[in-house]
Amino acid sequence: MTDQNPGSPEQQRALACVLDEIIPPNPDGRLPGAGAIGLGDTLAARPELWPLIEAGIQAIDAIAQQRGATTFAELPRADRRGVLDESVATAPVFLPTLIAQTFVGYYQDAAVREALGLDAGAPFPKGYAVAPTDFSILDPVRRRGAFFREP
Amino acid sequence: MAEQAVDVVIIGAGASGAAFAWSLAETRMRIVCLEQGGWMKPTDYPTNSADWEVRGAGEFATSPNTRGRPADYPINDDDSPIKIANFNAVGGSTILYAAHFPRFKPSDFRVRTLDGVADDWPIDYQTLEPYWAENDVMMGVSGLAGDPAYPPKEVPLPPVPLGKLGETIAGGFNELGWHWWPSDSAIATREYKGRAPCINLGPCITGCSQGAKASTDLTYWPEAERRGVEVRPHCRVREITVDANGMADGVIYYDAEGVEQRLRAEIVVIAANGVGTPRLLLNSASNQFPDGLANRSGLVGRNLMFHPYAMVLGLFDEPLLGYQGPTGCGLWSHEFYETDPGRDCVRGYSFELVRGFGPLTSALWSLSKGELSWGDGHHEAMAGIVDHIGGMMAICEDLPEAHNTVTLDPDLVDGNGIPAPRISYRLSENSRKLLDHGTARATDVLKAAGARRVVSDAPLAMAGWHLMGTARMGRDPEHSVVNEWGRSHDVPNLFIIDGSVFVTSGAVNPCNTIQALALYVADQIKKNIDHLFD
Ligand SMILES: Cc1cc2nc3c(=O)[nH]c(=O)nc-3n(C[C@H](O)[C@H](O)[C@H](O)COP(=O)(O)OP(=O)(O)OC[C@H]3O[C@@H](n4cnc5c(N)ncnc54)[C@H](O)[C@@H]3O)c2cc1C
Repeated sequence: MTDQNPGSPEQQRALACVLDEIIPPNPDGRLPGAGAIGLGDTLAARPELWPLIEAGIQAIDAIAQQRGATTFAELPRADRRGVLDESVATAPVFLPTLIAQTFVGYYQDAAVREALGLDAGAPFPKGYAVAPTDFSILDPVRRRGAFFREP
Repeated sequence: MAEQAVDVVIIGAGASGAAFAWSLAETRMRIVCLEQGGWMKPTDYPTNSADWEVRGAGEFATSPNTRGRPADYPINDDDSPIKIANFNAVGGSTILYAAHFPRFKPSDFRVRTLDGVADDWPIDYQTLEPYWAENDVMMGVSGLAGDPAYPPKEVPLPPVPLGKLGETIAGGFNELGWHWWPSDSAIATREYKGRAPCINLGPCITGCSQGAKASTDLTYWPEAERRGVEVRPHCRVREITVDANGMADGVIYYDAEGVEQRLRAEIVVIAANGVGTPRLLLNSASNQFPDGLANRSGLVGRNLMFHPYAMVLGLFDEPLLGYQGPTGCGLWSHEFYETDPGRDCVRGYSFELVRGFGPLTSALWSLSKGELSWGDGHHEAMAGIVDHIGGMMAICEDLPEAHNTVTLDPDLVDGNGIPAPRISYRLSENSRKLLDHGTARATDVLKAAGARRVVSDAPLAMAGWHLMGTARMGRDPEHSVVNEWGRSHDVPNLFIIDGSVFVTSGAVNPCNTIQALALYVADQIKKNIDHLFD
């Protein structure tokens, strides 16, 4: 997929950093950050998204420069969130779009689903075995008797 | 333009069209059903693929405007807080429905007499009882006999299992001493008439890959075709035409190639649902019916009723496995169904179990509700959400109000250039109060069941899936569009058999009652065949 990513290495790195800000790796290492699952390449390769991503990276790099860094990716982690929040003023669609797209990509990822203890693949044809209900739990309702309204 | 003639043409192959066609087929009349959509393949449904959540929100979305399939027609619902949900195919909206399958209740047919609002129906619970029973067998309904909220009735198949989530919520109801009962569900819980049993895939509202859910392409249509009814898929009716005597004489439609066709018929039956039906009648205006066909009362397209929904979800500490099992089927409660003088509103609502969602839907919903954030802490929050959500919908009775309408949009057209419908709907004060009450009582139940937090959404915008009232039935031609057995007051060989004819909405899902009505109308036609147009 990387060869379909139209971004420069710097842009690719910036995008991965943004994705990792949106969904960082779990401190216990059980769940990867969104920047580490190939999602950046997938999103950048979508022609309808790339211009927005490119402009967004430009905007966050510009804010990073005002804060004395050369690029967003060069910022210490602790400063990145603030830059992303600030980017909404100059690139209002970038962050909300990336958040939504990151969630979509991340929670469809097979490894992520498995790490959450869920099935990664299609629900069909396996399905799920749900134990039959013991309807003695209805006893209090049965004791109450009929209560529909007759016209 | 080719021209053919049949005895009966049915427009729409959904819930009502299928039941009606099957029943009327025994007359051996030549019956053709024109349907703008095609036959669905269960192998195409989202749960066949790993990206089922995304496909379910896209090409199988409940909104035709989001789906935008060739069979769909656009609907301008900008002027409504509740958006239209449907599906256009052989099977109609039953392709996507949740298959929660209650009957209306005896009081639903008498709200004027009982509560002084809206109107009584010209028929009653007893009229429909045999048709519900017939429909339960044809659709293959599961459930448990003995619900004290209903007159006695049988259920053909055992109930769907409640699962851990359902049992937890049932515990909440028990704690409060409130009514609940396993739902009647149009889902095969064991092999039934060639349908495989439910395997608890989860999202019934994206189509059932297993074929356990009773969509009418799997239930009525195969049997109706065996009885000689012809279904013509990919045929969209533009208008119903009338002869010099004001009788319907057939339809003009576009076939699969987009070629205009004419089909003559002795009887025209509309089964296009509460939006498609008024749209078609309004599109069939002529010199004799300048305001739309069968619209001398001026009521075609008026009194649109949804069921305003409150979705109330709890976040629980325990994993609940809520994504396993039919999304919208499990249990219902009729504790708050009837008018209560202690409440500041009339009529009531029912509750329906909502099982959990997949991880993506859970994450996006929680994000939109502020229950989940991005950035640091995301995983900790998500661990308490995914597989920890479940709850209920309050389904509120919507009263008929003339200003809630389906009209024709002046600009919007479908793929054949036919004017599209426009919805104008205001949530009434009464509905708002019912939603608030339902939200508060659902919160009580979920808390009693152990929820640590409760989050609600009312009215649920996507929930315009019950479409009723836009061609109401009644005895008085001044105040209704069709008579007590679905025959147009103005055009004696024109029948309407879908939810458009509902006088009131009840507070339960309507499909079983829509189909029972369609079977009843078919029987009335059979019984009155010798003097049908008198
Ligand atoms: C997501 C969803 C969930 C639901 N869940 C439930 C539930 O749990 N329980 C319940 O009781 N109900 C439920 N419903 C509602 C239920 O599906 C409908 O009430 C029922 O299907 C209506 O039946 P009908 O025959 O009136 O219309 P439909 O089933 O909608 O069928 C109408 C058919 O007419 C066709 N048509 C329309 N216009 C034309 C035309 N001009 N030419 C040719 N064909 C035309 C359409 O393509 C469509 O196939 C749900 C609906 C949806 C969308």
